[in-house]
Amino acid sequence: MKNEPDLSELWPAIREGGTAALRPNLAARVFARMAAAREELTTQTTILVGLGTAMACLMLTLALNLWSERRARDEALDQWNVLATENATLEQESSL
Amino acid sequence: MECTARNMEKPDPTALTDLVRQAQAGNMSAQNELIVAYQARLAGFVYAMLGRSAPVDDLCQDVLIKMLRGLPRLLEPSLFEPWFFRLARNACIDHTRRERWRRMFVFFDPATDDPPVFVDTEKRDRVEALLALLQRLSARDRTLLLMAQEGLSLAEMARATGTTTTTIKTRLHRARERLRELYEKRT
Repeated sequence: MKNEPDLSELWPAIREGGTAALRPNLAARVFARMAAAREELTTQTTILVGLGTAMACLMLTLALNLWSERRARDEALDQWNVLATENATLEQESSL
Repeated sequence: MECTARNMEKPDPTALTDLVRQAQAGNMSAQNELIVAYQARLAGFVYAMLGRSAPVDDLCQDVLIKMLRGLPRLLEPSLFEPWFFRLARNACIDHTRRERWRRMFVFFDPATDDPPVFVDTEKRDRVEALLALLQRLSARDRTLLLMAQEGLSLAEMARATGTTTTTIKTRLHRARERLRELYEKRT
Protein backbone atom coordinates (compact mmCIF):
# COMPACT_ATOMS: atom_id res chain seq x y z
CA MET A 1 0.00 0.00 0.00
CA LYS A 2 1.37 3.42 -0.91
CA ASN A 3 2.24 5.70 1.95
CA GLU A 4 1.70 8.90 0.03
CA PRO A 5 -0.87 10.16 -2.45
CA ASP A 6 0.39 9.97 -5.99
CA LEU A 7 -0.17 13.47 -7.30
CA SER A 8 1.62 12.65 -10.55
CA GLU A 9 -0.59 9.65 -11.19
CA LEU A 10 -3.78 11.61 -10.59
CA TRP A 11 -2.65 14.84 -12.25
CA PRO A 12 -4.05 13.99 -15.71
CA ALA A 13 -7.40 13.24 -14.07
CA ILE A 14 -7.29 16.55 -12.18
CA ARG A 15 -6.58 18.39 -15.43
CA GLU A 16 -9.43 16.52 -17.05
CA GLY A 17 -11.72 17.61 -14.23
CA GLY A 18 -10.66 21.22 -14.53
CA THR A 19 -11.11 21.18 -18.29
CA ALA A 20 -14.54 19.57 -17.97
CA ALA A 21 -15.56 22.51 -15.79
CA LEU A 22 -14.85 24.96 -18.62
CA ARG A 23 -17.75 26.08 -20.74
CA PRO A 24 -17.27 26.01 -24.55
CA ASN A 25 -15.46 28.72 -26.52
CA LEU A 26 -13.37 30.10 -23.68
CA ALA A 27 -11.17 32.20 -25.99
CA ALA A 28 -14.18 33.84 -27.65
CA ARG A 29 -15.71 34.63 -24.28
CA VAL A 30 -12.44 36.12 -23.06
CA PHE A 31 -12.21 38.44 -26.08
CA ALA A 32 -15.89 39.39 -25.71
CA ARG A 33 -15.39 40.26 -22.06
CA MET A 34 -12.35 42.38 -22.88
CA ALA A 35 -14.34 44.33 -25.44
CA ALA A 36 -17.18 44.85 -22.96
CA ALA A 37 -14.75 45.85 -20.24
CA ARG A 38 -13.41 48.68 -22.39
CA GLU A 39 -16.90 50.22 -22.48
CA GLU A 40 -17.30 49.62 -18.78
CA LEU A 41 -14.06 51.48 -18.16
CA THR A 42 -15.47 54.53 -19.94
CA THR A 43 -18.60 54.47 -17.76
CA GLN A 44 -16.50 54.09 -14.64
CA THR A 45 -14.23 56.92 -15.70
CA THR A 46 -17.25 59.14 -16.35
CA ILE A 47 -18.68 58.39 -12.92
CA LEU A 48 -15.34 59.07 -11.25
CA VAL A 49 -14.86 62.36 -13.09
CA GLY A 50 -18.41 63.39 -12.14
CA LEU A 51 -17.89 62.56 -8.50
CA GLY A 52 -14.54 64.31 -8.51
CA THR A 53 -16.07 67.46 -9.97
CA ALA A 54 -18.90 67.39 -7.41
CA MET A 55 -16.38 67.04 -4.57
CA ALA A 56 -14.29 69.90 -5.96
CA CYS A 57 -17.40 72.16 -6.14
CA LEU A 58 -18.34 71.25 -2.59
CA MET A 59 -14.84 72.04 -1.30
CA LEU A 60 -14.82 75.35 -3.17
CA THR A 61 -18.21 76.31 -1.73
CA LEU A 62 -17.06 75.46 1.78
CA ALA A 63 -13.82 77.42 1.31
CA LEU A 64 -15.73 80.47 0.00
CA ASN A 65 -18.18 80.27 2.92
CA LEU A 66 -15.34 80.12 5.39
CA TRP A 67 -13.55 83.06 3.78
CA SER A 68 -16.76 85.09 3.71
CA GLU A 69 -17.49 84.40 7.39
CA ARG A 70 -13.93 85.26 8.38
CA ARG A 71 -14.07 88.51 6.44
CA ALA A 72 -17.37 89.48 8.08
CA ARG A 73 -15.93 88.63 11.51
CA ASP A 74 -12.76 90.66 10.88
CA GLU A 75 -14.81 93.65 9.69
CA ALA A 76 -17.03 93.45 12.77
CA LEU A 77 -13.93 93.23 14.97
CA ASP A 78 -12.38 96.27 13.30
CA GLN A 79 -15.62 98.26 13.80
CA TRP A 80 -15.76 97.20 17.43
CA ASN A 81 -12.15 98.32 17.95
CA VAL A 82 -12.89 101.70 16.36
CA LEU A 83 -15.98 102.16 18.56
CA ALA A 84 -14.07 101.09 21.66
CA THR A 85 -11.29 103.59 20.90
CA GLU A 86 -13.83 106.38 20.32
CA ASN A 87 -15.61 105.47 23.52
CA ALA A 88 -12.39 105.53 25.52
CA THR A 89 -11.50 108.93 24.05
CA LEU A 90 -14.96 110.34 24.93
CA GLU A 91 -14.67 109.05 28.50
CA GLN A 92 -11.24 110.64 28.86
CA GLU A 93 -12.55 113.98 27.56
CA SER A 94 -15.62 113.90 29.87
CA SER A 95 -13.47 113.10 32.92
CA LEU A 96 -11.29 116.12 32.13
CA MET B 1 -14.59 20.94 -23.48
CA GLU B 2 -12.22 18.27 -24.63
CA CYS B 3 -8.66 17.86 -23.54
CA THR B 4 -6.47 17.51 -26.55
CA ALA B 5 -2.84 16.52 -26.67
CA ARG B 6 -2.11 19.96 -28.07
CA ASN B 7 -3.27 21.81 -25.04
CA MET B 8 -2.18 19.37 -22.34
CA GLU B 9 1.55 19.30 -22.94
CA LYS B 10 4.15 21.96 -22.25
CA PRO B 11 4.81 23.85 -25.50
CA ASP B 12 8.25 23.94 -27.12
CA PRO B 13 10.13 26.91 -25.54
CA THR B 14 11.25 28.47 -28.83
CA ALA B 15 7.82 28.19 -30.40
CA LEU B 16 6.27 29.58 -27.24
CA THR B 17 8.58 32.60 -27.20
CA ASP B 18 7.67 33.36 -30.83
CA LEU B 19 3.99 32.97 -30.08
CA VAL B 20 4.21 35.26 -27.06
CA ARG B 21 6.05 37.91 -29.10
CA GLN B 22 3.35 37.80 -31.75
CA ALA B 23 0.64 38.02 -29.10
CA GLN B 24 2.44 40.98 -27.53
CA ALA B 25 2.44 42.67 -30.94
CA GLY B 26 -1.35 42.45 -30.93
CA ASN B 27 -1.76 39.49 -33.27
CA MET B 28 -5.25 38.20 -32.33
CA SER B 29 -4.64 34.82 -33.89
CA ALA B 30 -1.50 34.39 -31.75
CA GLN B 31 -3.41 35.49 -28.65
CA ASN B 32 -6.12 32.97 -29.44
CA GLU B 33 -3.54 30.24 -29.92
CA LEU B 34 -1.94 31.13 -26.61
CA ILE B 35 -5.28 30.81 -24.83
CA VAL B 36 -6.00 27.46 -26.47
CA ALA B 37 -2.49 26.21 -25.63
CA TYR B 38 -2.85 27.01 -21.94
CA GLN B 39 -6.54 26.68 -21.12
CA ALA B 40 -6.42 23.02 -20.08
CA ARG B 41 -3.34 23.47 -17.91
CA LEU B 42 -4.81 26.61 -16.38
CA ALA B 43 -8.14 24.90 -15.68
CA GLY B 44 -6.39 21.96 -14.00
CA PHE B 45 -4.27 24.29 -11.90
CA VAL B 46 -7.26 26.39 -10.79
CA TYR B 47 -9.36 23.28 -10.08
CA ALA B 48 -6.62 21.85 -7.88
CA MET B 49 -5.94 25.19 -6.13
CA LEU B 50 -9.59 25.76 -5.24
CA GLY B 51 -10.71 22.15 -4.85
CA ARG B 52 -13.99 22.96 -6.58
CA SER B 53 -15.16 22.99 -10.17
CA ALA B 54 -17.83 25.71 -9.96
CA PRO B 55 -15.51 28.76 -10.02
CA VAL B 56 -13.05 27.29 -12.57
CA ASP B 57 -14.53 28.82 -15.71
CA ASP B 58 -14.93 32.37 -14.34
CA LEU B 59 -11.52 32.37 -12.76
CA CYS B 60 -9.87 31.06 -15.93
CA GLN B 61 -11.50 33.91 -17.84
CA ASP B 62 -10.17 36.41 -15.29
CA VAL B 63 -6.64 35.00 -15.52
CA LEU B 64 -6.65 34.96 -19.32
CA ILE B 65 -7.88 38.55 -19.45
CA LYS B 66 -5.12 39.62 -17.05
CA MET B 67 -2.66 37.70 -19.20
CA LEU B 68 -3.70 39.48 -22.39
CA ARG B 69 -3.70 42.88 -20.70
CA GLY B 70 -0.35 42.27 -19.01
CA LEU B 71 1.44 40.81 -22.05
CA PRO B 72 2.79 44.17 -23.28
CA ARG B 73 4.53 44.61 -19.91
CA LEU B 74 6.22 41.19 -20.04
CA LEU B 75 9.81 42.14 -20.89
CA GLU B 76 11.12 38.63 -21.43
CA PRO B 77 8.78 36.42 -23.49
CA SER B 78 10.88 33.38 -22.56
CA LEU B 79 9.63 33.81 -18.98
CA PHE B 80 5.99 33.64 -20.01
CA GLU B 81 5.18 30.42 -18.17
CA PRO B 82 6.29 31.37 -14.64
CA TRP B 83 4.64 34.77 -15.11
CA PHE B 84 1.41 33.15 -16.28
CA PHE B 85 1.20 30.71 -13.39
CA ARG B 86 1.99 33.54 -11.00
CA LEU B 87 -1.11 35.34 -12.33
CA ALA B 88 -3.11 32.15 -11.86
CA ARG B 89 -1.84 31.64 -8.32
CA ASN B 90 -2.64 35.23 -7.32
CA ALA B 91 -6.12 35.01 -8.85
CA CYS B 92 -6.85 31.83 -6.86
CA ILE B 93 -5.61 33.36 -3.61
CA ASP B 94 -7.68 36.53 -4.20
CA HIS B 95 -10.74 34.41 -4.96
CA THR B 96 -10.32 32.41 -1.74
CA ARG B 97 -9.95 35.63 0.25
CA ARG B 98 -13.09 37.15 -1.32
CA GLU B 99 -15.07 33.96 -0.66
CA ARG B 100 -14.03 34.04 2.98
CA TRP B 101 -15.26 37.63 3.33
CA ARG B 102 -18.45 36.87 1.45
CA ARG B 103 -19.25 33.90 3.70
CA MET B 104 -18.81 36.14 6.77
CA PHE B 105 -21.55 38.46 5.59
CA VAL B 106 -23.91 36.09 3.85
CA PHE B 107 -25.28 33.92 6.62
CA PHE B 108 -27.82 31.90 4.77
CA ASP B 109 -25.88 31.11 1.66
CA PRO B 110 -27.25 27.97 0.03
CA ALA B 111 -24.51 25.51 -0.83
CA THR B 112 -23.48 25.77 -4.45
CA ASP B 113 -23.37 22.36 -6.04
CA ASP B 114 -20.31 21.82 -8.13
CA PRO B 115 -21.20 20.48 -11.54
CA PRO B 116 -20.08 16.84 -11.90
CA VAL B 117 -16.89 16.60 -13.92
CA PHE B 118 -16.17 12.83 -13.84
CA VAL B 119 -18.17 9.97 -15.21
CA ASP B 120 -15.94 7.34 -13.63
CA THR B 121 -16.91 7.29 -9.94
CA GLU B 122 -13.73 5.62 -8.76
CA LYS B 123 -11.60 8.24 -10.47
CA ARG B 124 -13.87 10.95 -9.07
CA ASP B 125 -13.51 9.65 -5.53
CA ARG B 126 -9.73 9.46 -5.75
CA VAL B 127 -9.42 12.93 -7.26
CA GLU B 128 -11.80 14.46 -4.72
CA ALA B 129 -9.93 12.80 -1.86
CA LEU B 130 -6.64 14.21 -3.15
CA LEU B 131 -8.13 17.66 -3.71
CA ALA B 132 -9.48 17.64 -0.14
CA LEU B 133 -5.98 16.87 1.15
CA LEU B 134 -4.51 19.64 -0.97
CA GLN B 135 -7.00 22.10 0.49
CA ARG B 136 -5.62 21.37 3.93
CA LEU B 137 -2.21 22.59 2.86
CA SER B 138 -1.32 26.27 2.88
CA ALA B 139 -1.82 28.14 -0.39
CA ARG B 140 1.95 28.43 -0.70
CA ASP B 141 2.54 24.67 -0.40
CA ARG B 142 -0.33 23.91 -2.73
CA THR B 143 1.00 26.35 -5.32
CA LEU B 144 4.44 24.75 -5.31
CA LEU B 145 3.13 21.20 -5.62
CA LEU B 146 0.85 22.17 -8.49
CA MET B 147 3.48 24.20 -10.32
CA ALA B 148 5.82 21.20 -10.06
CA GLN B 149 3.08 19.04 -11.58
CA GLU B 150 2.73 21.56 -14.38
CA GLY B 151 6.36 20.97 -15.27
CA LEU B 152 7.80 24.26 -14.06
CA SER B 153 11.47 24.01 -13.16
CA LEU B 154 12.76 25.10 -9.76
CA ALA B 155 14.12 28.28 -11.36
CA GLU B 156 10.74 29.01 -12.94
CA MET B 157 8.94 28.38 -9.66
CA ALA B 158 11.39 30.69 -7.91
CA ARG B 159 10.65 33.39 -10.46
CA ALA B 160 6.89 32.83 -10.18
CA THR B 161 6.94 33.15 -6.39
CA GLY B 162 9.64 35.81 -6.05
CA THR B 163 12.13 33.66 -4.12
CA THR B 164 15.33 31.71 -4.76
CA THR B 165 15.83 28.22 -6.15
CA THR B 166 17.21 27.00 -2.83
CA THR B 167 14.15 28.25 -0.96
CA ILE B 168 11.85 26.61 -3.48
CA LYS B 169 13.67 23.30 -3.19
CA THR B 170 13.27 23.33 0.61
CA ARG B 171 9.65 24.45 0.52
CA LEU B 172 8.72 21.92 -2.13
CA HIS B 173 10.26 19.12 -0.12
CA ARG B 174 8.38 20.26 2.99
CA ALA B 175 5.13 20.57 1.05
CA ARG B 176 5.47 16.96 -0.14
CA GLU B 177 6.20 15.86 3.44
CA ARG B 178 3.11 17.64 4.73
CA LEU B 179 0.93 16.09 2.05
CA ARG B 180 2.26 12.68 2.95
CA GLU B 181 1.59 13.31 6.65
CA LEU B 182 -1.97 14.40 5.92
CA TYR B 183 -2.50 11.29 3.83
CA GLU B 184 -1.15 9.04 6.58
CA LYS B 185 -3.38 10.66 9.20
CA ARG B 186 -6.39 10.17 6.94
CA THR B 187 -5.63 6.45 6.47
